[in-house]
Amino acid sequence: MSEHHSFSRRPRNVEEFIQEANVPVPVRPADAEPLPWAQAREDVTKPYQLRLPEKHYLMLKYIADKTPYSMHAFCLDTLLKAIETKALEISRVNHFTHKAD
Amino acid sequence: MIVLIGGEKCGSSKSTLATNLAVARALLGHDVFLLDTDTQGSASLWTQLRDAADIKPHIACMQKFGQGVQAAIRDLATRYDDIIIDAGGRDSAELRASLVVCQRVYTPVQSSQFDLWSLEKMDELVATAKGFNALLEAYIVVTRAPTNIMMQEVGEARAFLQDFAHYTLAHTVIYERAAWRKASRQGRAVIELDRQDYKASNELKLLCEEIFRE
Repeated sequence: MSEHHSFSRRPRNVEEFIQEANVPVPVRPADAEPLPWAQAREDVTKPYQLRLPEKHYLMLKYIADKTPYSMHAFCLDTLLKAIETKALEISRVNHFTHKAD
Repeated sequence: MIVLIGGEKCGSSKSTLATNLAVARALLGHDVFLLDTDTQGSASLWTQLRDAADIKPHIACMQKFGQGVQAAIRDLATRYDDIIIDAGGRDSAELRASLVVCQRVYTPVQSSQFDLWSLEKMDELVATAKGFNALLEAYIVVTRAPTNIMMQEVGEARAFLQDFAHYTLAHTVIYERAAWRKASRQGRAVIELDRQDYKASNELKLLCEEIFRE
């Protein structure tokens, strides 16, 4: 066994342990430009028209007929998760890209 | 149970094991959630293939990165029987966050490419994580082992891997078989292939029993 040791000291708590990863949790610098949704209000909804191919429109209708979902509720449930994941992923990648520059 | 399939080494079959285990548990009637914390998103892509082909059972899957991973796992654990986490091949915050909340971590290691440095690093990570998660059990599972009986790689790997203080070697060995790749490409588990490879299916069954034993 080699004598390699990656920890010079033991982390004091879980947060420190996680933050010390080689690929750490990105922490946006205080002077970073705020993300577009930073000031978004929880109580405001914005309409956005979704244009679906007929096949998928009919599939969506079929889902609504066969499950407790409405067409809108199904899209919302599916889209919100995907939007949040992708937006966070992009904001994280951009942060590291800018850092590398 | 919360099980992490994670390690620092890329290409050691982490996503393959995670997705196959998810199906194996779901077919046994357990409510399973597959959490993909790998930015490559292999497990997520696999579930998309599966959903597109309408393969049942449906495997609930989500990609999660960053600071919310720990809280997300704890929350999911209140709603699902089993959480299987696929953590990417690097020392990431997601890997560490998963280590402090999971009950068992299985680190797949290719029999031909065991890497002293990355395993030592994982051994240290496990040791530190155990300070915050006393129930954590860590195992190494040998994967992609050659099926040629003349090859001594598995025995050599086993001898080498016994030196790690915080890891135990899993009994089950996963052999290099085309069925694993074929199943992954189709969004299936090896036990779901039309023409089953019974050896691969048996390896999955044994690994599943070993991981989820009481």
